[in-house]
Amino acid sequence: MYIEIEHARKTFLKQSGETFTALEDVTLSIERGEFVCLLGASGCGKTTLMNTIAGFESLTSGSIRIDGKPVRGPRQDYVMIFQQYGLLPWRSVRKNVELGLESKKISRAERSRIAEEYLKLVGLSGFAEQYPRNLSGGQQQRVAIARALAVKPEILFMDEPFGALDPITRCRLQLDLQRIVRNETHTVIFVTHDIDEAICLADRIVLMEADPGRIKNIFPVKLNRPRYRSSPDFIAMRQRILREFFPVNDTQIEYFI
Amino acid sequence: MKVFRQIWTIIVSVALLLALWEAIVRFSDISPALLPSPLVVLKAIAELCRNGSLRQNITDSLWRFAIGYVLAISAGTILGILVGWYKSIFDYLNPILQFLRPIAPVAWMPFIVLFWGIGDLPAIVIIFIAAFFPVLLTTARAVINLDPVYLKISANYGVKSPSILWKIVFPAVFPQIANSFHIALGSAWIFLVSGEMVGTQSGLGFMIVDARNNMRSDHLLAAMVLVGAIGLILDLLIGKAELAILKFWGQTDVH
Repeated sequence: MYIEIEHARKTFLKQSGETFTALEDVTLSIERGEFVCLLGASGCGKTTLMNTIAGFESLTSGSIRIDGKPVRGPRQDYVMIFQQYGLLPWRSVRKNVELGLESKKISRAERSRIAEEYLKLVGLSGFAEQYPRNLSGGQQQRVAIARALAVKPEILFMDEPFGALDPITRCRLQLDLQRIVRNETHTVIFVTHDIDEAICLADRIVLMEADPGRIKNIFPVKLNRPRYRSSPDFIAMRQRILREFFPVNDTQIEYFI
Repeated sequence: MKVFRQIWTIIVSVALLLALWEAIVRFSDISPALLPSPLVVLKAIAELCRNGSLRQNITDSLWRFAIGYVLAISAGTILGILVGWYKSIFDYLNPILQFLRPIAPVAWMPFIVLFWGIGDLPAIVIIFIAAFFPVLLTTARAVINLDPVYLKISANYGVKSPSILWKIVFPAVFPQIANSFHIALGSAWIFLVSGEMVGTQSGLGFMIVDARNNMRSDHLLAAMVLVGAIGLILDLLIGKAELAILKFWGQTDVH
């Protein structure tokens, strides 16, 4: 397996002095090229789990290996995309996309060419010389995606990347993301609390639960792409997942936000 | 419309102040030699303009101010970033800074004169001290409170220390630094007068001392009015610059 998480446990000391268990005995394997969604309500440890895989946080106990090597800290080939985009407001869109290329031995002209290429991929060709302040939230997140892809990362971590966007923009970005990552064949770990978003994107959905944060269940999603929310398979999948959250009155729930 | 209203309120408030001043002169027992009327002060300004002493004093003051201020904000920014970034230095330095900060810049004056003598330097040093601390402390705090997302991005995109300091940290906190420049300008301008009251032979502060020695209350008030007016103009200019910076950084909604 490409990513192997074994008995991962993470505790924090709260200000009141109690220990809070963010992750309790999480074991999970992820294949190369797989698109995995970590799905769950707030406080279930999904972001903590992703931060530990990405090397931004360390585990209290247990181990995480990527490609056989233990994770020791953040790396340039595992790149994260954030809910608040994380663009540099003082740089133009093109210079933002070039950020990760500057530490590599790439000429100025080549950097510029790569930036253009990825801006085209995310549908922002004409925006290279604009500044982030002039862009909508959806466009800013597209820039962040272009910036991440431009360094050709092996793993893409996405931390509720569409959480701050309106539903229509979000749907459009979900469709585009499917197209983009299919072409680029990355391993993607995607954190969300939106069931539809998870079904729309994932090869596998890892359902998580809070107190303490742990894996509740794992669903492979075997639907054809592109996936549409109105298809019967999609709706059936949504029902299955909802049943996990609300086991008793499952017939009454028809809609979930 | 908003601009007109702004101008209107400025005109009214200035007019009110002048009217109050005039009324005090007219209806109180204070001798006109002690408290000259606005018109007399205006005449004094005109006279000082004509004989060229005003221009000389303002230029000298602005020069001293510019040197002290620019040195202070440069040093304050650079040290602030370093101290904020290497937080353990800040932890050791902060008590010392907090101890030194409440000491009024003019309290250093005797030492400054003892060490460097009289002339331009004492005024420049006073201005430096007045501007340095707000910039240093604000910059250090801003760096300490830097949004962690910038650090994650730097790690992901291979921006390493020390280039992270000028590539990411400095531009990221620049709006806060600009705000500290604004605050520092105000407090440094206040101390310009006290800095120039000792040991200088020109400048707006010297004008005040000179007027006092010659019992020329009209010149005294003229110098005070000019200190206020120039301070106001400088503040307006830097306020505009600060707003432009915030706009560029996309943070206008912060205000």
